[in-house]
Amino acid sequence: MKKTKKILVSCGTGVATSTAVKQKLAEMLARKGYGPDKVELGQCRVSELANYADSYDLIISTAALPPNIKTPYILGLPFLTGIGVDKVLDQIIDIIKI
Amino acid sequence: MGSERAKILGEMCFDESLVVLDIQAETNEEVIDLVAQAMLREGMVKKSYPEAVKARERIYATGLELLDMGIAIPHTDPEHVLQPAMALGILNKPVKFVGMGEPDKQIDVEVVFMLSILEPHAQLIILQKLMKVFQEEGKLRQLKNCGTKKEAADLLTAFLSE
Repeated sequence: MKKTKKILVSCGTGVATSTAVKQKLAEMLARKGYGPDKVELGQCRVSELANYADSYDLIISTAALPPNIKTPYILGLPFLTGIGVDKVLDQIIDIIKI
Repeated sequence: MGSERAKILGEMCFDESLVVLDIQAETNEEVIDLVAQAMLREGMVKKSYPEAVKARERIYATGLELLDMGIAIPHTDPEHVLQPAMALGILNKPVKFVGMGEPDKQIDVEVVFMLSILEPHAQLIILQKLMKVFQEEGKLRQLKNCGTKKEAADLLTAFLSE
Protein backbone atom coordinates (compact mmCIF):
# COMPACT_ATOMS: atom_id res chain seq x y z
CA MET A 1 0.00 0.00 0.00
CA LYS A 2 1.41 3.36 -1.02
CA LYS A 3 1.42 6.15 1.47
CA THR A 4 0.40 9.66 0.37
CA LYS A 5 3.17 12.23 0.76
CA LYS A 6 2.38 15.53 2.40
CA ILE A 7 3.75 18.95 1.47
CA LEU A 8 3.05 22.04 3.54
CA VAL A 9 3.16 25.43 1.78
CA SER A 10 3.70 28.43 4.03
CA CYS A 11 4.16 32.19 3.87
CA GLY A 12 4.04 35.16 6.23
CA THR A 13 0.27 35.71 6.27
CA GLY A 14 -0.94 32.39 4.87
CA VAL A 15 -3.18 34.21 2.38
CA ALA A 16 -1.23 35.55 -0.58
CA THR A 17 1.98 33.95 -1.77
CA SER A 18 1.33 30.52 -0.23
CA THR A 19 -1.99 30.43 -2.11
CA ALA A 20 -0.27 31.21 -5.41
CA VAL A 21 2.62 28.81 -4.77
CA LYS A 22 0.32 25.98 -3.68
CA GLN A 23 -1.77 26.28 -6.82
CA LYS A 24 1.25 26.37 -9.13
CA LEU A 25 2.88 23.46 -7.29
CA ALA A 26 -0.28 21.35 -7.53
CA GLU A 27 -0.45 21.97 -11.29
CA MET A 28 3.21 21.19 -11.89
CA LEU A 29 3.20 18.07 -9.70
CA ALA A 30 0.07 16.75 -11.42
CA ARG A 31 1.75 17.19 -14.80
CA LYS A 32 4.62 15.01 -13.55
CA GLY A 33 2.19 12.32 -12.41
CA TYR A 34 1.94 13.39 -8.78
CA GLY A 35 -1.74 14.25 -8.52
CA PRO A 36 -3.83 14.72 -5.37
CA ASP A 37 -4.03 10.91 -4.96
CA LYS A 38 -0.27 10.82 -4.36
CA VAL A 39 0.57 14.16 -2.80
CA GLU A 40 -1.49 16.05 -0.26
CA LEU A 41 -0.87 19.80 -0.02
CA GLY A 42 -1.47 21.87 3.09
CA GLN A 43 -1.14 25.61 3.68
CA CYS A 44 -0.39 27.74 6.72
CA ARG A 45 1.39 30.84 7.94
CA VAL A 46 5.04 30.57 8.92
CA SER A 47 4.20 31.33 12.57
CA GLU A 48 2.02 28.19 12.66
CA LEU A 49 4.65 25.88 11.18
CA ALA A 50 5.77 24.50 14.53
CA ASN A 51 2.26 23.09 15.07
CA TYR A 52 2.04 21.28 11.75
CA ALA A 53 5.54 20.61 10.42
CA ASP A 54 6.00 17.20 12.07
CA SER A 55 3.15 15.61 10.15
CA TYR A 56 4.52 16.73 6.75
CA ASP A 57 7.29 15.30 4.54
CA LEU A 58 8.37 18.63 3.10
CA ILE A 59 7.84 22.36 3.62
CA ILE A 60 7.82 24.87 0.74
CA SER A 61 7.93 28.41 2.11
CA THR A 62 8.24 31.91 0.71
CA ALA A 63 9.34 33.22 4.11
CA ALA A 64 12.33 32.18 6.20
CA LEU A 65 11.51 29.39 8.67
CA PRO A 66 11.51 29.69 12.44
CA PRO A 67 14.25 27.70 14.18
CA ASN A 68 13.68 24.12 15.36
CA ILE A 69 11.75 22.96 12.31
CA LYS A 70 13.17 19.55 11.40
CA THR A 71 11.09 18.84 8.30
CA PRO A 72 13.03 19.31 5.02
CA TYR A 73 12.50 22.78 3.57
CA ILE A 74 12.72 24.39 0.14
CA LEU A 75 12.36 28.10 -0.65
CA GLY A 76 9.25 28.52 -2.79
CA LEU A 77 10.29 31.71 -4.61
CA PRO A 78 10.79 30.09 -8.03
CA PHE A 79 7.05 29.33 -8.15
CA LEU A 80 6.44 33.10 -7.96
CA THR A 81 9.26 34.33 -10.16
CA GLY A 82 9.41 31.45 -12.64
CA ILE A 83 13.22 31.60 -12.38
CA GLY A 84 14.65 28.12 -11.79
CA VAL A 85 11.25 26.55 -11.22
CA ASP A 86 11.98 23.30 -13.11
CA LYS A 87 15.06 22.66 -11.00
CA VAL A 88 13.11 23.20 -7.78
CA LEU A 89 10.34 20.90 -8.99
CA ASP A 90 12.92 18.16 -9.59
CA GLN A 91 14.29 18.66 -6.06
CA ILE A 92 10.77 18.37 -4.65
CA ILE A 93 10.04 15.20 -6.60
CA ASP A 94 13.33 13.71 -5.38
CA ILE A 95 12.22 14.27 -1.79
CA ILE A 96 8.68 12.97 -2.15
CA LYS A 97 9.51 10.06 -4.47
CA ILE A 98 7.79 6.97 -3.16
CA MET B 1 -16.55 52.47 -2.59
CA GLY B 2 -19.30 49.95 -3.18
CA SER B 3 -20.53 47.83 -6.02
CA GLU B 4 -19.80 50.34 -8.80
CA ARG B 5 -16.04 49.98 -8.43
CA ALA B 6 -14.32 47.91 -11.11
CA LYS B 7 -13.33 44.44 -9.99
CA ILE B 8 -10.87 42.48 -12.05
CA LEU B 9 -12.28 39.03 -12.83
CA GLY B 10 -14.90 39.69 -10.17
CA GLU B 11 -12.29 39.10 -7.49
CA MET B 12 -10.36 42.21 -6.68
CA CYS B 13 -10.95 45.97 -6.79
CA PHE B 14 -8.52 47.80 -9.00
CA ASP B 15 -8.75 50.94 -11.12
CA GLU B 16 -6.79 54.12 -11.77
CA SER B 17 -7.67 55.51 -8.32
CA LEU B 18 -5.46 52.73 -6.92
CA VAL B 19 -2.46 53.66 -9.05
CA VAL B 20 0.33 55.83 -7.61
CA LEU B 21 2.80 57.14 -10.20
CA ASP B 22 6.12 59.00 -9.95
CA ILE B 23 6.95 57.79 -6.47
CA GLN B 24 9.96 59.67 -5.11
CA ALA B 25 11.12 57.88 -2.02
CA GLU B 26 14.29 57.01 -0.17
CA THR B 27 13.06 54.06 1.89
CA ASN B 28 10.69 51.17 1.36
CA GLU B 29 8.57 52.38 4.29
CA GLU B 30 7.96 55.67 2.45
CA VAL B 31 6.92 53.70 -0.63
CA ILE B 32 4.56 51.53 1.41
CA ASP B 33 3.06 54.63 3.07
CA LEU B 34 2.36 56.35 -0.25
CA VAL B 35 0.70 53.33 -1.83
CA ALA B 36 -1.17 52.31 1.34
CA GLN B 37 -2.64 55.83 1.57
CA ALA B 38 -4.36 55.24 -1.78
CA MET B 39 -5.84 52.00 -0.42
CA LEU B 40 -7.04 53.87 2.66
CA ARG B 41 -8.42 56.86 0.72
CA GLU B 42 -10.41 54.54 -1.54
CA GLY B 43 -11.93 52.70 1.41
CA MET B 44 -10.27 49.36 0.69
CA VAL B 45 -8.56 48.97 4.05
CA LYS B 46 -8.81 49.95 7.70
CA LYS B 47 -6.81 52.77 9.27
CA SER B 48 -4.52 50.19 10.84
CA TYR B 49 -3.46 48.86 7.41
CA PRO B 50 -0.46 51.10 6.51
CA GLU B 51 1.32 50.47 9.83
CA ALA B 52 0.44 46.77 9.69
CA VAL B 53 1.92 46.44 6.19
CA LYS B 54 5.14 48.14 7.28
CA ALA B 55 5.37 45.96 10.39
CA ARG B 56 4.85 42.82 8.35
CA GLU B 57 7.36 43.88 5.71
CA ARG B 58 10.01 44.11 8.46
CA ILE B 59 9.37 40.49 9.49
CA TYR B 60 8.32 38.89 6.21
CA ALA B 61 9.83 40.95 3.42
CA THR B 62 8.25 40.84 -0.04
CA GLY B 63 10.95 41.92 -2.52
CA LEU B 64 11.19 39.71 -5.61
CA GLU B 65 13.90 39.75 -8.27
CA LEU B 66 12.19 39.04 -11.60
CA LEU B 67 13.44 38.80 -15.19
CA ASP B 68 12.45 42.41 -15.95
CA MET B 69 13.20 44.14 -12.66
CA GLY B 70 12.82 44.01 -8.91
CA ILE B 71 9.29 44.31 -7.51
CA ALA B 72 7.63 44.01 -4.11
CA ILE B 73 4.20 42.78 -3.07
CA PRO B 74 3.60 44.27 0.38
CA HIS B 75 0.46 43.04 2.16
CA THR B 76 -0.74 42.10 5.61
CA ASP B 77 -3.26 40.09 7.62
CA PRO B 78 -6.97 40.11 6.64
CA GLU B 79 -7.97 41.81 9.92
CA HIS B 80 -6.77 45.15 8.47
CA VAL B 81 -8.66 44.71 5.20
CA LEU B 82 -12.15 45.88 4.20
CA GLN B 83 -12.26 44.81 0.55
CA PRO B 84 -10.03 42.65 -1.62
CA ALA B 85 -8.02 45.09 -3.71
CA MET B 86 -4.74 45.78 -5.39
CA ALA B 87 -2.83 49.06 -5.60
CA LEU B 88 -0.05 49.68 -8.08
CA GLY B 89 2.93 51.89 -7.25
CA ILE B 90 5.49 52.93 -9.87
CA LEU B 91 8.78 54.36 -8.61
CA ASN B 92 10.84 57.07 -10.28
CA LYS B 93 14.01 55.51 -8.98
CA PRO B 94 14.58 52.08 -7.44
CA VAL B 95 14.25 51.68 -3.67
CA LYS B 96 15.70 48.75 -1.73
CA PHE B 97 13.39 46.11 -0.29
CA VAL B 98 14.58 42.98 1.51
CA GLY B 99 14.14 39.79 -0.52
CA MET B 100 11.22 37.53 0.21
CA GLY B 101 12.45 34.52 2.21
CA GLU B 102 16.01 35.80 1.80
CA PRO B 103 16.72 38.23 4.66
CA ASP B 104 20.29 38.84 3.46
CA LYS B 105 19.26 39.96 0.00
CA GLN B 106 18.48 43.58 -0.96
CA ILE B 107 16.41 44.08 -4.08
CA ASP B 108 16.17 47.28 -6.15
CA VAL B 109 12.43 47.64 -6.50
CA GLU B 110 10.84 49.69 -9.30
CA VAL B 111 7.20 48.57 -9.15
CA VAL B 112 5.06 47.71 -6.14
CA PHE B 113 1.88 45.64 -6.15
CA MET B 114 0.16 46.17 -2.82
CA LEU B 115 -2.49 43.63 -1.96
CA SER B 116 -5.39 43.61 0.45
CA ILE B 117 -6.68 40.08 0.79
CA LEU B 118 -9.58 38.87 2.94
CA GLU B 119 -9.44 35.15 2.37
CA PRO B 120 -6.97 33.16 0.30
CA HIS B 121 -9.04 31.24 -2.22
CA ALA B 122 -11.37 34.06 -3.19
CA GLN B 123 -8.51 35.77 -5.05
CA LEU B 124 -6.86 32.69 -6.45
CA ILE B 125 -7.33 33.42 -10.16
CA ILE B 126 -6.06 36.96 -9.85
CA LEU B 127 -3.02 35.85 -7.85
CA GLN B 128 -2.22 33.28 -10.52
CA LYS B 129 -2.62 35.88 -13.27
CA LEU B 130 -0.37 38.26 -11.37
CA MET B 131 2.35 35.60 -11.10
CA LYS B 132 2.05 35.14 -14.86
CA VAL B 133 2.66 38.86 -15.40
CA PHE B 134 5.71 38.61 -13.12
CA GLN B 135 7.13 35.72 -15.11
CA GLU B 136 6.68 37.03 -18.64
CA GLU B 137 9.57 39.15 -19.74
CA GLY B 138 8.65 42.65 -20.94
CA LYS B 139 5.27 43.07 -19.26
CA LEU B 140 6.53 44.81 -16.14
CA ARG B 141 8.76 47.02 -18.23
CA GLN B 142 5.71 48.11 -20.26
CA LEU B 143 3.82 48.81 -17.05
CA LYS B 144 6.71 50.77 -15.60
CA ASN B 145 6.78 53.01 -18.69
CA CYS B 146 3.12 54.07 -18.50
CA GLY B 147 2.73 57.86 -18.44
CA THR B 148 -0.70 58.17 -16.82
CA LYS B 149 -2.64 56.39 -14.09
CA LYS B 150 -5.34 55.42 -16.53
CA GLU B 151 -2.84 53.97 -18.99
CA ALA B 152 -1.21 51.92 -16.20
CA ALA B 153 -4.57 50.73 -14.82
CA ASP B 154 -5.84 49.75 -18.26
CA LEU B 155 -2.63 47.92 -19.15
CA LEU B 156 -2.49 45.93 -15.91
CA THR B 157 -6.20 45.12 -16.16
CA ALA B 158 -5.61 43.88 -19.72
CA PHE B 159 -2.65 41.71 -18.61
CA LEU B 160 -4.68 40.21 -15.79
CA SER B 161 -7.65 39.52 -18.03
CA GLU B 162 -5.65 37.62 -20.67
